[in-house]
Amino acid sequence: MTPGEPYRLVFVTADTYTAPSTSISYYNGVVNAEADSVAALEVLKTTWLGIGSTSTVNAIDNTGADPGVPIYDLNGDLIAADATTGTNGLFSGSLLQPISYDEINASPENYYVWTGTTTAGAEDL
Amino acid sequence: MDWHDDGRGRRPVAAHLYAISGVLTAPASGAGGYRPDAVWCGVPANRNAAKRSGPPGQSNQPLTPGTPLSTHRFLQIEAGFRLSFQLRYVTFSGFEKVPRENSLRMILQAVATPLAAQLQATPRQCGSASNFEQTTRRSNWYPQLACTAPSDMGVKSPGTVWPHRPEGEGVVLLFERNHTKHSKVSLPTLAALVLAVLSGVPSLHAGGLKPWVRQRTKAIGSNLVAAGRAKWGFR
Repeated sequence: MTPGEPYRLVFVTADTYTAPSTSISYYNGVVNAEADSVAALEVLKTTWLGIGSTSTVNAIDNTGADPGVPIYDLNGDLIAADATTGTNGLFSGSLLQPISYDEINASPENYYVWTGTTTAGAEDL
Repeated sequence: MDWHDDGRGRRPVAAHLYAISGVLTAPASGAGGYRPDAVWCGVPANRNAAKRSGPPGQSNQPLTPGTPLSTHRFLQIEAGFRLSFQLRYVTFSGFEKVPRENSLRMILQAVATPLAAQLQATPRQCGSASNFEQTTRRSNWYPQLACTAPSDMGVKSPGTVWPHRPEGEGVVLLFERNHTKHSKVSLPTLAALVLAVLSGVPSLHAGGLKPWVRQRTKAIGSNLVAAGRAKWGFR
């Protein structure tokens, strides 16, 4: 990666939630709060988005496709080529690596994740 | 919200969420920020940069405790070389789990300033024989942290205590391993090592750190894992 090259980061939250809201902003707020609880992520001053869908918002729209922007986990593993449905994309149907590191770079065991989303990034509730 | 029945009634299912950042931009070397592939990984390039960044035997920019790392561009470039060097030693010595360089970078960003302040505040708390021995017995890996060290560090026997110099000259981080199979160094400890390396070893090119580590390693086998020296001018 050369200076100036764009990239995105992904993580799985360390905390768990019961998915009580039908508003995507709730989930975006949750992941932002978790990310900003870690100094190394907070300093990035970026907006974090939940990779999830509600009945009115598809995950692929919530995350933004940003074609060509690679996505890494916090362990430095390349997860997807971008957040599109294209080859090696986040919503292509498969990931290059599972998203298995949380915001403190730990890897929870036997975890479940709310997405409400098909592999193509559409809502699946 | 989904529900499950665990035999004691229906309960809401708790699960994690995935998060994705906005688009970030990889910073230039030494410019701070988080890079997923780590600035430090390019050892050959960093080695060249280190050679260009200053004359042998001189520190380019001593790291001032409390100063953000991002202001020390040359040091970070050099640190890439040094860090990689150190990590190889750690790895070869049987480290059970070494965080990748990019993880270390994150750790550094989180702990560098408070750690520097801690080192500045406590250089004289370490360096006595009793302190050294207690630390040795207490943990599998121990950081001989913030000991003042002589400038002419040479080969010493295992367990040798660095002469305590009240006027202070630097910081020695010394990681030694006992024979516990599953020894691990804590992340703050490892970050401390990295920070010491980051903070500038003036004699790296002139035969300071690197040969010293080699001598020590050769002298006491695999017991000594890594060492670094920082020069912060404790007074």
